[in-house]
Amino acid sequence: MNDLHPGKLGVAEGIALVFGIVMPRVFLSTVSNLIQQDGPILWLAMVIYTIIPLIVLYMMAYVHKGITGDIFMVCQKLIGTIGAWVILLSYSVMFLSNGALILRLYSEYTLLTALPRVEFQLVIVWYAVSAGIVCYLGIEALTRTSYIVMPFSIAAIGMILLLLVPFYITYNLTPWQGNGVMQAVQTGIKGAGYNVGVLALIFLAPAFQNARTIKKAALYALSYAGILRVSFILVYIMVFGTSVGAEKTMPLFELARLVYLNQYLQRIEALFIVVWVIFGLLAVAGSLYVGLYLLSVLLKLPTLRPIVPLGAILIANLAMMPPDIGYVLEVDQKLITLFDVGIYVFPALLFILAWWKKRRGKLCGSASS
Amino acid sequence: MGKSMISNLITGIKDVLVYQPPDQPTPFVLNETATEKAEIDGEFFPPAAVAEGIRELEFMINYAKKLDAFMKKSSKDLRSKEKHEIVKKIKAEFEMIQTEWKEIKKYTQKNHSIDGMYNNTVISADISENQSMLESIYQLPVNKDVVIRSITISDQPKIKALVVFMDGLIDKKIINMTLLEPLMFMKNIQEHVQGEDFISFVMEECLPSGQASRIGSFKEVQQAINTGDAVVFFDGSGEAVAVETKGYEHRSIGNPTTEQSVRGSQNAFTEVLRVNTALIRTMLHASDLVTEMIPIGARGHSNCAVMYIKSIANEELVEEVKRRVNSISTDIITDSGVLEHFIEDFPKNPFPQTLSTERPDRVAIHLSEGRVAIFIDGSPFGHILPVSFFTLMHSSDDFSLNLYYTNMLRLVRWFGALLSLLLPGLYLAISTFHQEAIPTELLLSIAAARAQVPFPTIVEILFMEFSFELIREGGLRIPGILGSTIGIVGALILGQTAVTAKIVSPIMVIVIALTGLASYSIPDYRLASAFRLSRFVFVLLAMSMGLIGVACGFLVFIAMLCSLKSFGMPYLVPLAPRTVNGGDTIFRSSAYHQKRRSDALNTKDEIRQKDTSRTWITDSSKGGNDHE
Amino acid sequence: MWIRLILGMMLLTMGIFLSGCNGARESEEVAYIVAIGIDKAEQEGMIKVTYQIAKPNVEGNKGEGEKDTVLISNSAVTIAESLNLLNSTTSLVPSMSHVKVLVVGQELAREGLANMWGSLKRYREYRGSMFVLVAKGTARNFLEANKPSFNISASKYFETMLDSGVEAGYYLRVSFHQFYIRLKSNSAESYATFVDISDLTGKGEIATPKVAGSKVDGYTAGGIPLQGGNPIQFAGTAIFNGDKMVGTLSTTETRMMAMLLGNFNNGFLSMEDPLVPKKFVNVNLRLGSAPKIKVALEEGRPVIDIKIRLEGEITNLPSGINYEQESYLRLLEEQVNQVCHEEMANMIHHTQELKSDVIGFGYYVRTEFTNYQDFLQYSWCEEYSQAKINITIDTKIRRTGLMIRTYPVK
Repeated sequence: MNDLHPGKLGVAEGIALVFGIVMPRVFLSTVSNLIQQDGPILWLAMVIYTIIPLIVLYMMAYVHKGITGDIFMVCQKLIGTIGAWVILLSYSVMFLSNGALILRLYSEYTLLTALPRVEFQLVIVWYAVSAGIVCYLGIEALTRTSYIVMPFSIAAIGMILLLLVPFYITYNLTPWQGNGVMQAVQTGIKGAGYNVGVLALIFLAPAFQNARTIKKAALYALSYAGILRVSFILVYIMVFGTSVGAEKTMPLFELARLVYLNQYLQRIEALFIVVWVIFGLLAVAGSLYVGLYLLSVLLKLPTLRPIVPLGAILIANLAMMPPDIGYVLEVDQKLITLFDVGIYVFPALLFILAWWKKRRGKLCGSASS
Repeated sequence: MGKSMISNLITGIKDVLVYQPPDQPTPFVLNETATEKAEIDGEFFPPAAVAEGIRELEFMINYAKKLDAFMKKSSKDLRSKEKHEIVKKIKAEFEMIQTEWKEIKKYTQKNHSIDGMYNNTVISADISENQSMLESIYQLPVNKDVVIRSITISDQPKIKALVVFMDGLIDKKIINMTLLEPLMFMKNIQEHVQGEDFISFVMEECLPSGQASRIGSFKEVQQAINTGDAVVFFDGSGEAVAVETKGYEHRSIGNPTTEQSVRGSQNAFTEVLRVNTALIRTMLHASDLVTEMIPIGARGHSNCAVMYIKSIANEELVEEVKRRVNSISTDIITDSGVLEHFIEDFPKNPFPQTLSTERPDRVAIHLSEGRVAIFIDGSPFGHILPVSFFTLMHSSDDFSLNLYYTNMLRLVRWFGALLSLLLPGLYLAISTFHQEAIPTELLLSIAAARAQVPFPTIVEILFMEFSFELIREGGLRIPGILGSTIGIVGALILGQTAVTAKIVSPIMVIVIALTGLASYSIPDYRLASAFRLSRFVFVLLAMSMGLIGVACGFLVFIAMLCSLKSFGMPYLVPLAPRTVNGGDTIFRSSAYHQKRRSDALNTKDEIRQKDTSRTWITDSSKGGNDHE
Repeated sequence: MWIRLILGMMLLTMGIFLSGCNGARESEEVAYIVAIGIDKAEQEGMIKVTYQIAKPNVEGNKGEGEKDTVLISNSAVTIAESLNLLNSTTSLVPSMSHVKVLVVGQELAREGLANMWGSLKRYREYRGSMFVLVAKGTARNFLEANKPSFNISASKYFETMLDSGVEAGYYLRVSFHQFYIRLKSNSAESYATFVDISDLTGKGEIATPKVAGSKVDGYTAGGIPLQGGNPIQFAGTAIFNGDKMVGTLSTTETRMMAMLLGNFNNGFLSMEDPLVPKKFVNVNLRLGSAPKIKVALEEGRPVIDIKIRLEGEITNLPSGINYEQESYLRLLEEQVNQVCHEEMANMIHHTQELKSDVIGFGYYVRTEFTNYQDFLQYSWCEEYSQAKINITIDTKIRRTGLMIRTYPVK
């Protein structure tokens, strides 16, 4: 039991970790793009989003069940050392680039909304340092912090959605098929990669109590995230409609600044910046941790801490690379392909191998006896 | 002549102009001692240790001489007389010498102490040797506190004895009545009673004292004398008797000063360890409440009491606490706060990892919860460990008040804690970065008030915070009756005039006053000060990044609390990691519903009470039948 | 350890010093704009922007009648440019985050606002919660004439004024967000509160009723005979087709619109006494439930079914007829139904003529489609003017006020 595998994380921590990594994208421009694509039926895509990764996680749990040891050993046993390296390295790249992308987008939007006159680099460095510190304190501190903070953040978002009741136009959700059911299903299948974060549970499996904890955590985390996403999308479409909704850069911020209940309860978006930043930071820290964890498993490092500053610098530099926000969004669109590989190809491969091996093992066992 | 006159003149003028130091003895300067210089070159040997070493060597030489004499005598005896009896006698003598050798070996093989207090030395059978040892330990006769009374007991044979005690720490009556009187009027003893038998004979028959123990080393001798016991040495015996004669002056039990409560007990600990442990026993009449004494401090020899209930407290926890306390090697600890820093997991973290309390009832409750309490001589505070953050936010009379009222108070307390942590930071962030969040009218009046203030908001905040801390710290030092008056006057005048002088805006005074008041709502003094310290960090964060800075800071703050552990127990338990909620975390449930002890303590007995803790509810009432 | 600590400290101080230029702005360094007025400038293609800036109110500095705001106007090609011009003419940094109302001059509104709104929604300081007003004259004049009679600040005045509009339903509060989404949606057209300045002479045309059975007819802003008080008036609604203003609705029409939108809180209705037409009856009405609107497509032509339930209370009954009785009450209810029906039909017809679906029937037609593309291809705005309207109004007079019968004057 070292600090990589405390073996003490329970369901609550698992939920917080996955939720933290998976959730923040819904607050970024991704949603506007998807509304442009799908129209009012986007919620269906979100439901599919949630279900596919859950199945994938259960598959991976099956893969992990027969083999003890960390994820590297599992992969090694199934497809050999080189294959394991390829798979884990690409997962590590996925998580780190996810972290970098969220870092960049959050910094951009911070500049756009809360601190318009701040130096751009300062914001990125600030976020990277904060996320680095949280990451440095270890997986326990990270997950427990998100576990403590999450209910308040979710409550805050729920409050925004409720305060906007006077602005709801239910008919904005019609025509209910939007741009077509098939279009939504397609979006859902394609976008499932955004939930690749749920695999963090499998990678960190030795840090959790047992396999049941992991499955339970994944189920809860994805359902919470799914419910929040769907209700967020529904409210967003109800308030802004399809055409204006697709215009917005930052859906959550726009919703928050629209709140006007009476002359005393208005202009509360500044307070929601706090919630928003916390979501972003936890996502960056979580992605950073998982990415670095995979690296340290690959390199057989005894502890993670010394490479945390390196990782923070790495993602900060990655985040600073794209010259403009248009390019960032383009990268975002391309990254989803990588994530899709992570959520479909690798798990399927591992699953088939594990299944095959198990069957062969059974056959051999029966033959020898 | 002219020349000499000129030179005289010049000398004269010079005498007038040039400062001549007055004729005085050279002032005292505390120079480095020789050993300190030597320390730079090589190993460190304080003179006391050298003297002790010499003394030890002398002791061994004496032993060698004794051995030599014994050999000579026995060889002579063996040659001259009949063998049977003599062999027996020699055998006895030989065994005695052998045990002595074992003792010597044991002590000399130990590490050499550095303080010259003869901690490793055993009591000699020769009483004069013991006396000279005591004299060198206690610097007699320069030191007037230690009294060595030499007496002779029993006529046949006459045995010399020394009674040693510390004047002022003992009760003279007890010494006279229970020690000197019975010893001096002791009946004659049989001749064959010697050595160890003699000591036990004295202890059993002649000392009418409650506590008497036999001790063998000078370390124990010193410990006994320094804590107010009297030690009796007997000639010809390698051991001494320590007799309980404590009787020093101490403060009587008073009311709690920092943890007042409206309801609940009004006793507070005092400076005497024994009184404190007794206070707990008066509240908690458990037979398996164990008080272990662990002496700490090479020079101070303070006693540290570790208390726990054997059938509840987790054994590993108790062992760990004892291990940590035992491992302390320092010269003196007189305060429980200092002791805490020696044994807590994260001494650099400002957040208190033990609950320091002056209330016996609180200690009793926590002991029955499965926690461990430590006390130290001379400190009126007991420390309860391990604790979680939530325990520190509880107050002692939470359970004496109505359920809902308590919970409202707790809500106020949490809100106050949050305010005291964040308010100045939030105000700074919102008023300089996010003005849209302030209602227009309020914003306009803030702007109007600020218009004439020549400093930025951050300077205002720091100035006011500094003044507030100044009043707090100054008010503490101002003697007695003046204290509160000057505090109020200072606060009023400072606030009022600062506003009229347009140094700060009135709203800032409100913010700071509210923050200050809020920080007093935190029940634990040290927790409040940790919050106050963190507040400055939040102000700086708000200054640099507005609400973003505050949000990042808050996240890191919580992460820090999450990674903190108090004696192996996570600090935020039962919230993170999530464990069974015992019904007393942020809010409390009814006392009769709290079935289990805190899960995180992993106590031996988890159940506090049965599910039906109030059987009278289910039992049929006998009302109306009492006349039978 | 020490090196880390020192490095950390250095980073921290560096951060703080670097962020000396972090954009912190003391509250007194900012000019808070509470209202913006936009007019057509005299020069071709330029706009005249008027800013109403709040003065920080130092206690005792405000004399009687002295305004607590400053009005500054400048002409520029775009709003952003005008903001820069404003910045160079005031010592403080203008901030738009506290803008309460956006006033547009009628002339500009009739020419179209599309060019302006784009820049407004993109910039972070404008928010969707500011209210949109259309001034009959120029916005500058309107803001200038505004003299709140009760001792409240300009920002508070606008908010309370627009808040109190729901009390009578004579004008509606429109936030910029609502205005904007209607602008971009093909289900409804935008509208805005109509305002103007009164000459305070107390003389004005007293509107004669156009609807049979009604005793009064609507006014539009500026037309209400008024003496004393604040000269500015909020009354009626400016309606748009696309980004161009095409007409106004009077106060009674606005009230009908409020009923259809479901924000009609309450209001008095004065009408002829059904049995003694010379006398009048006053009823305080409110919506019994949300309006039920159904839009069906019959061979491509929309048919709009409207069902409205009203609840009322008799507030004045000079004729003394015993309407409190169940049988007579029916008469009264019928009268209300008839008046409201006619007024509503007139109002809808008016908007149909202007091809401006301000009520948003277009939202209800969306359920007729399953696919968003199909709906987009259906040009609702054109079809609306051809729509067939069926109105059912069901009034229930629930209470009779503080009197249960009237004795005649002796």
